[in-house]
Amino acid sequence: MQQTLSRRQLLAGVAGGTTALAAGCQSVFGNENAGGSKTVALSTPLTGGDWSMYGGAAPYYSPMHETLTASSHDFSTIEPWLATEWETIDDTTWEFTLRDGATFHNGEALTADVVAESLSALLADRPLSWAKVTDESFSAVDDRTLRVETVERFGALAGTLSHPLFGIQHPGSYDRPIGTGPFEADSADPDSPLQTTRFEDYWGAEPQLEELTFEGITDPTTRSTSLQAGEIDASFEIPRQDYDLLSANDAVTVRTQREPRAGSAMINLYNSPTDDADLRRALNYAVDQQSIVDSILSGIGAPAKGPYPQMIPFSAHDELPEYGPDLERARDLVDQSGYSGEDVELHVSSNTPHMQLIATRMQDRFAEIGVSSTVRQFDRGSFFETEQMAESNLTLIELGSINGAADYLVHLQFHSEGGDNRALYESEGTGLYNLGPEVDSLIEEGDRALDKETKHEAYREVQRRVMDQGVLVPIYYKEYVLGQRANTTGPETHAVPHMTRWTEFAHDGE
Amino acid sequence: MRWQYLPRRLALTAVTLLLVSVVTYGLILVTPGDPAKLVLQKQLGQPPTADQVAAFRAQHGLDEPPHIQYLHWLGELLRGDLGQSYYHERSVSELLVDRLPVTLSLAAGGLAVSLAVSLPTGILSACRPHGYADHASQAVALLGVAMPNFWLGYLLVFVFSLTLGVTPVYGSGTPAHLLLPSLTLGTGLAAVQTRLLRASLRDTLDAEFVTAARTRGLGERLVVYKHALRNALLPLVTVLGLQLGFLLNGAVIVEVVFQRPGLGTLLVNAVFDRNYPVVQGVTLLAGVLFVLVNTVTDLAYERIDPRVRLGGEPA
Repeated sequence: MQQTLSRRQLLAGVAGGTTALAAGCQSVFGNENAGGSKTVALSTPLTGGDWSMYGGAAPYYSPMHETLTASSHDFSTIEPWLATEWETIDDTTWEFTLRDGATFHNGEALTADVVAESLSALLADRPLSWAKVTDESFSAVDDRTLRVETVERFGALAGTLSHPLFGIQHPGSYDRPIGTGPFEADSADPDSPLQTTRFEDYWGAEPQLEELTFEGITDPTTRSTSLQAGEIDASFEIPRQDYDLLSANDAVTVRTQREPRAGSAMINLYNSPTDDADLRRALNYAVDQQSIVDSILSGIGAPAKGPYPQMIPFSAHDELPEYGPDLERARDLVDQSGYSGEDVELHVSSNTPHMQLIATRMQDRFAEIGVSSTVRQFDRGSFFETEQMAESNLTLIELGSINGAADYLVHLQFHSEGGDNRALYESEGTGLYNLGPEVDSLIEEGDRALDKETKHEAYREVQRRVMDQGVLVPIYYKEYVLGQRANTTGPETHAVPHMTRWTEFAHDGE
Repeated sequence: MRWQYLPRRLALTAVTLLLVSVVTYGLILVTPGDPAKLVLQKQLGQPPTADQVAAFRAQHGLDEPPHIQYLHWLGELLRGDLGQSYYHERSVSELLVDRLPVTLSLAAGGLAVSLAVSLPTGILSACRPHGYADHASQAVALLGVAMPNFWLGYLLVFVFSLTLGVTPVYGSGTPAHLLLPSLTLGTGLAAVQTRLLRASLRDTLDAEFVTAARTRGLGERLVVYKHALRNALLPLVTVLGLQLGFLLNGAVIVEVVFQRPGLGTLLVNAVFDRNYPVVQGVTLLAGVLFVLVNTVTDLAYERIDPRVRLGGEPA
């Protein structure tokens, strides 16, 4: 017998099925996570990309890998971590004394031999030349003493070794993350959430949670809504525009934290018409940083005066003069310059939507002082290459340190052999943002100085000269937004979110 | 079905895929951005030196002339090797195998939702033209076509996840996780299908053979479902094939909003990262899926309408 289904039956079935499915979901997804287990959302998965030297998981944000040194929460000092103390033996030799009682997740003790082998393997795989060390730099003096030979005198070594990339993975196996941190993982499956459990033999403060999961959620709005729905317990990089909405939600807590990171429009010194210092100064006078922070950044962040925010110990922020905003002065400088109506190109990356808005705002201000400009947007694949081809006049970037010593930023941006300038300096004898031999010498002096005062003064002088010559238009000092469920406590916000310490993150049972 | 049709179709498919790979490779070459610099910048934390860039290029064969690079890739492909991702310690095949189920589930969910909406609505509109249901379906269809996917996705999340709390915001693992992404994808598809089915069915209902059926005293329900609908389905099947083909190429916006990274996200990221082997792998797979869906669509024609003969033979 042939059975037939009427239209009405079909529609009723679809509607009923949908309702039942939705109702069934409520009990499963409407609940808060259990007390001993929490989920943290990041903008990219820790297991995305090539992290084979860390057992398959990025050392950023990670509670599994630890470094020899650490940056304090406010970024002001370098603290002992797996190394309890260190000293310079001579200009290029350092010795680090390792912590007693630290063990890896595989049960093996932390010794100088293992650390030397781990860091040597890391440097052989990825030559992090900015750290002034190679795969031959590390050796064990004895069980507890690690010797490090730098390729040149480098005062920032201790701070540099706090970079998460120097997280120590046990060299015996790279099949899974094996560090000394407060949480361990059985595996790190590519592009999947990373599930970690409390490491019972952790040397430091006992972790509050039994399980901690890190999940990559690329869409900022989805991170925000998942937090509101209680599907995740904390999220970094909540969209700034959601701050007020989440603040008004009793189930959610939001905090902001200043980062050692700044947004700037870097000005090409060697491309007409911005090869004219008066025009560069005019552009600086035209920009209203406060207005940009208030409107485009939703008031989260601070107007910048220089390339480095105050929290970076060598920042010259407090002594740098303010350019403006002063449109009258800007117009005078345009008249005084050799500017004759050429188009000024502003380049932004499609990865940074707020920079596109900032570029448009700057374009409007430049028009008010009689400077015509064009904003060009590039995908992330061609953005940096276009910058290196010197096609732009202003390139809008966000740059900061995820390293306790931010020294490398100065070299990277303003030294002729720094990463931003090297290619053009070597091929054309020019560069992008390098002012010449005097500034190069100052940077080298700062890089090599073993005492803070000499180092900081050299770097401050670089900033004074850079701002005097209008090598960049400083825009904002960044703050990030951390959102979390109100039934959680901790962790203390760290200036470098990648260095967040997870032992304090807990369920608030009350 | 004419089985001799299949070998010819397979040969055409091979030529199509070869052309797809050549065009993709050509587009990659003219796109600015050097994968060596991008990958190394990510790995090293700052722009690489010229030596590092040269070493990367040599390691990945990027220092060879373009035609040699392509032939090398083709040779490896014929041996079943799609190459290695620049950014992962994984082969392209592994990445595709990981992402394909996500894309297939999204495509199936979206198509199921669209058919559940378009079939009853299209039939109702065609049977009662210019009635309330017809006007309402036209308005909803217009809204469905005009509404951007990402906006509808966020709207559904706001209503069902945040306000009612009955569906998860994102992720995968249970059928419930598929509900909102399927609704988001299905709405736009349903709008097109509904309008098409309405128009096609209206034409068929005015055809002489339908009038003849009515004059034979058959009931309206039998006339519509047994005689008219089958004939009216051909245009819908054509569009379904195209829609499914596009869905299988990845629905990037929906994948991102609901955090279900499938082939679309993989391809977009690979393009931005200049991850050439992955771009080639995804476009090749997308080409295979598209051709496969179109072949199935062709076969479906013959099943629905026996007058259709594949291979150009007369009925």
